[in-house]
Amino acid sequence: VASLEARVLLLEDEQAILDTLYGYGHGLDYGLEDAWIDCWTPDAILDWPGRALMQGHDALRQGFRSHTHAPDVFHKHIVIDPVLTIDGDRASVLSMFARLDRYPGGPRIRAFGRYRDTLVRCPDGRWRISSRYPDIESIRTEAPLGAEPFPDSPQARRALGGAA
Amino acid sequence: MSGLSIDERLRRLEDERDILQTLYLYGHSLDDGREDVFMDCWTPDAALLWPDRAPIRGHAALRDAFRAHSHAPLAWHNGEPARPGQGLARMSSALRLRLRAPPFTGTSHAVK
Repeated sequence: VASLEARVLLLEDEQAILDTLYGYGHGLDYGLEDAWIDCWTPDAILDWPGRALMQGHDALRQGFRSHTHAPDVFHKHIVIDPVLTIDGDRASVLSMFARLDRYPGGPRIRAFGRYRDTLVRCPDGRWRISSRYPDIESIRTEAPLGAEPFPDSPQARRALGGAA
Repeated sequence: MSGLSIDERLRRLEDERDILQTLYLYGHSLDDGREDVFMDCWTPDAALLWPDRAPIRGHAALRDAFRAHSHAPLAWHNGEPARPGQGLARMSSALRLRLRAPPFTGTSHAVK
């Protein structure tokens, strides 16, 4: 039986990991660049479909700045049903996501899929994402208000139901 | 929370966490076609009442219903190096038993 302290630490780790997962969407949707960058380890990998693989804070910062944010464009990156496995200072998380966007006539789901993440406990105690691989499972082809259409990629074509 | 010890209060938080993880695994496994993970969400005599269908009761019936349901292709994968044998089933087991299992890769299936 784990000690009381170990059980509390595990709950704290799980909550800290969730905080980082939530920080991704808040930071990206509302243009909180420093907060968003702080979600990542210095050598982190982010593989947005249809774009070059990003690795490291410089590339992530460029990716962030190329993305739309409120108040210019309103969207929501929503993370759903995160399933966590913690292994010491490393965690794997499988979660679902949906992105909500503004379209003529009202809000719609622009895309859904899942995130496959790895997080690590950093020296300062914060859990940060070391890799994020989004699997896009469905997308809308038309561009939301104020934003570009989903970039073409084999995964995007597969998400549309066509051949990759 | 009067009347409960620290240990009991902590156990309640852990129970709530574990319940939520089982709820989440229902959707993940049904969507992704992980039959063993889906089955492991249920007690042996569990009942599932999907609308407009006869009540589903027990593991054999639940397994039949799972197989009759649609699932994602097992090839939603965009290039992360796969580690065969480390899948969601392993993750679920580790979670349930509170083992510190090796990390999973989410999809350990080859791209079709």
